[in-house]
Amino acid sequence: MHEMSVVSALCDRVLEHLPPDTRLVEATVKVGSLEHLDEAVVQLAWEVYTDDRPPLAGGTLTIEWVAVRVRCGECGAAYEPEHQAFLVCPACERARPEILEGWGITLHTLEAEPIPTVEPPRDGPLAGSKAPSGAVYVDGHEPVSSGGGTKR
Amino acid sequence: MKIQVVENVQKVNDEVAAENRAELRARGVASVNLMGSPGCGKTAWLERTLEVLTAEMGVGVITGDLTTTRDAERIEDFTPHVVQINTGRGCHLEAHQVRQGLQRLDLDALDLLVIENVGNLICPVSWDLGQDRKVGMFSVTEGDDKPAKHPYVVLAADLILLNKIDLLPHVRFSRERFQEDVRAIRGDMDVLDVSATEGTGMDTWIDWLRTLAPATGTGQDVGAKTTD
Repeated sequence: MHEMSVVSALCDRVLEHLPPDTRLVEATVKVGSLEHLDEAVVQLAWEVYTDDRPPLAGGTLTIEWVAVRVRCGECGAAYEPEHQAFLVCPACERARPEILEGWGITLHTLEAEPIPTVEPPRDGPLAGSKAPSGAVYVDGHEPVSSGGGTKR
Repeated sequence: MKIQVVENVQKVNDEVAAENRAELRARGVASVNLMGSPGCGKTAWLERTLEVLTAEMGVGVITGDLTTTRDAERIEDFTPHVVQINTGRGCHLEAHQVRQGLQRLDLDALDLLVIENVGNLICPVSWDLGQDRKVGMFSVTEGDDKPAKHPYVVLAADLILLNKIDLLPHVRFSRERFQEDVRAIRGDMDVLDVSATEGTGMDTWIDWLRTLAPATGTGQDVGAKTTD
C-alpha cells in the first residue's frame, strides 16, 4: 500500500505548482514500470486525498507508464527487456542490467483553470443576505479569498 | 492553462534522504538498509551480528515496525544505540522517519548504522533512506520462488542474504533454483547463505560490513576517521 504514500507526496507537489486562484483539471504523471504501483489503487488513493482539497478535487490523474530500458553491463548493448524484472541481455544473455529508464515517479504536466467567481444572487431566496466583505464561495466549500491565494 | 513541471514526486523524501546520507558520512557512520519479509529473521540476524560487531565498533540500529517496540527491546540487549520507529499502518520506512531516528542517536559513538526496515519485500524498495548499501534478506521457509516473485528487491539490493539455511533439510527449497532466479535478475549478485540460529555465514557478513565501516576501536575515535 505504498500507493498512499506516493499519492500523498504527489498531492503536495501538485499543490506547490498550482498557480494561485486556479484548480486542477488534470495532472499527468510518468511512472517507471519497475515501480510496482497498482494503478487502480493509485486512482483510489487519488480520490481519497483530493476529495477535501478544493484546488485538487475533481481533477483527473493520468498515468503514463514508462517502459524499462536497460544497458547491458557486460556487452554494452541497449535494450528493452521482454520481461519486467528478468532483464537478461538478448545479445550476450547475461544479466548485468544498468537501468536507464524504469525507476521513478515524475509529475510531468498540470492543466489548471481559474476558480470561477460566484456572484451573490441579486434576487431569489438569498437576496439581501450579505457575504463577508471580500469573500467569495466556491462550490459550497470554504470561503476563498478573492485577492490572495486559495486555502490549501 | 498547461504547466510543464517534470519533477520527482518523491522529491521531498529524496531530499531528506540526501541530508541523512550527508550527515552520516560527515559523522563517519556507514549505513545499511536491511529489507526482508516479516519473519525472515532480520532481527535475529541483527542480534547475532551485534554480538560480534559491538566488540570492535559502535553500531546503532533504527528498527521499523507497525505497532510494537519488541524489536528495539531485543536489540537493546546488545547496544544502547537503538531507536524504534512505529509506522502505524505504514508498510515501509521513509527518509523523514530515519531523520527523526538519527536525531535521537549519538552518531559520534557510531561507526555503523543498520536500518531494519518494516517487514515487506515490496514497498521498502521504492524509498531512499540515505543508506550506503541495501541488503535483501530471504529465508528458506518462504520458498525458493521469492526472488522471482519479488524481483525488485533483488534489482535494488547490493547483497542478498538467504537465512535459515540450517532448515534446508526440512523444507521444500531448491537452493539452485533460488540462485538461478537471483542471477537471472542480477547476474553479479552475491548470495550469502546464513543462519541466525547456527551463526552460518557470520564471518563473511562481518567482513562485508567491515569493508563499509572500518573499525575504529570502540567507536570513540570515529571523529578522526576519514570517509568519503
